[in-house]
Amino acid sequence: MTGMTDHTQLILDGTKIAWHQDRIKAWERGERIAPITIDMALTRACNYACHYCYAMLQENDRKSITKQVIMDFLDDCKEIGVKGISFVSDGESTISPVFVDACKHGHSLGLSMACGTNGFVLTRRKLEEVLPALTYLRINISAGERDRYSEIMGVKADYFDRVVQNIRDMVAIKKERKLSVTIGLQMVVMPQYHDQILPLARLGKELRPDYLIFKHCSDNEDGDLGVAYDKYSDLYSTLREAEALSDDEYKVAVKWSKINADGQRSYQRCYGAPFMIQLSGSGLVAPCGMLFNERYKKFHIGNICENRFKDIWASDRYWEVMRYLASPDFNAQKMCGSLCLQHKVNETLDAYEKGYGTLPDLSNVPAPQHLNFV
Amino acid sequence: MSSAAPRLSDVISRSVAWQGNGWTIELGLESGAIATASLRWDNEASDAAFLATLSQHLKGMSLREARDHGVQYACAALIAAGKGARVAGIVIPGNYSETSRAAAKALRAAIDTATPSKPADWNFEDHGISDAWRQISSEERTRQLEALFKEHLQKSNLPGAVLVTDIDQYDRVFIQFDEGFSVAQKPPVLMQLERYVRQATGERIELFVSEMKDSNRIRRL
Repeated sequence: MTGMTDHTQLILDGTKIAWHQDRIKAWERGERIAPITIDMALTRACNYACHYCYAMLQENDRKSITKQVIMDFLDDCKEIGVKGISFVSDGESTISPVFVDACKHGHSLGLSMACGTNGFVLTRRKLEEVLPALTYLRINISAGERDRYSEIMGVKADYFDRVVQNIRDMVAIKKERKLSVTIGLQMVVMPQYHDQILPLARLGKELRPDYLIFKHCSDNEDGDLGVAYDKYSDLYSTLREAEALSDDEYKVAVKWSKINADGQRSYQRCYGAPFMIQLSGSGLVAPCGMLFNERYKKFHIGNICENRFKDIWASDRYWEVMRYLASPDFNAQKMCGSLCLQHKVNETLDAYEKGYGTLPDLSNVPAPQHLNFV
Repeated sequence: MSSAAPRLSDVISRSVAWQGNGWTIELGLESGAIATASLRWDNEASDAAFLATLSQHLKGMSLREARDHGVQYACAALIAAGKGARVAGIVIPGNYSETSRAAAKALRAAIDTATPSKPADWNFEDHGISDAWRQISSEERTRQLEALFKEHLQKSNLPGAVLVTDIDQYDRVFIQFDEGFSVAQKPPVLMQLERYVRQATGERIELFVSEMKDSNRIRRL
């Protein structure tokens, strides 16, 4: 299945892991499963300085992901059975010189490719090249007004104008060329950004992307970013007002399941990592972005700049780390930051493993969009 | 067979008794925790050694913890003792052995009968660092840990030394490798050392190396 498969439902707050029951069953049998989704960056560098940026906490020994490295990596992903690769993670992948080639090569292999970006360098020429290769392109835009954009995202105010124009261009290109790529906007909501929720929802309604999502901000276990989870409830009415701006072709959504969780986890084991791992823009392979920093060296598995990914995946070291996370040696409630990428997958698998739920029969249910990004 | 579904508060001072699918389970409770545990499985596949280990590990657990994680702890203990399952991927009660799979189901059924499961409830029962370990001075903990590091490195024929640089307010232990270790060696050695000190002390000690600060010049905390 490629990213161009026509699906129906767009799931923005939840997990699609239940549509991958073959891999869940293989995991349950104790087989070494390939990740369904890999979230990675092509560089640790960034041209922005967002105040809420989790990447500030993820520094590790940097290596450069060259064209050869990423091509080998994508070939390996295809070979072992990875289905989707998103360029999000801990750097701005669009500023890497290998970005366009990586998207196109992954797509040509039949992998679903996606990108989360600040959108600054995605001008019309680059968009025309890359959009046909993507399942989704998500622009991180955490304000709807240029001065507040400048403050929150740590850049000059005129960056806002350029990004807005780039969004207009991507929406136009999608329409002109009848592309199936989903174009989304995302606001990482810190409670102190509440004044930008409605301006951004209205800006989105004018720009006409497919969706706008409001999500929580993650923090590490020490709370270094200072996210006040107890303040999110003050935003509920504003967020509902923003959702009401949805129409038939523009969906405004809130990740209620995570915002309502107050930054807490209901489970102790991390079963999600083998299903969706993360790579740093340094090439580091780790089970989770929250474990990228050098501090968490015991979880560091390898680096695609030094070894082929298929060999790293097949190594005993990879599975030693994955087993640790799934064992009583590990307690995600105590040893992790808040609301990680794997959170919803973890919730589902934990409930399933504990016998609190069964896998649903989805044989007559249409698969959702972006199926390979669980 | 126990009677129908009393609340947890009603059963904390008595026993949970359950029979079904060839199983006989008796859990004696004191002050909300399991004080005695007996599990028998009338099946030719029954692994008595596993059930003995499970019974031992259930003691001291709440019913909720026993239901959700009891079999996991037994599997982990046996793996640590070198009696690992022939599982290439992730070990869970469902694939460790036939007995572990059946035990997990039976234990859940027994406890769900005694007290309705509440999957929406969050389980924050943790088995971390004991008060006894916390009360030891930082200097003494450092001395003990460094001695254990040295012991493990010698047993494993690993060159070099590992020193404790800090034990922080959350009892996290920060260490430093000396130059005897290659870059590639450090992650697996760190995990081995952590496993070794946990087994030696019985404490869930976490080992870290020093944090690396963001080297992006335009980002700032």
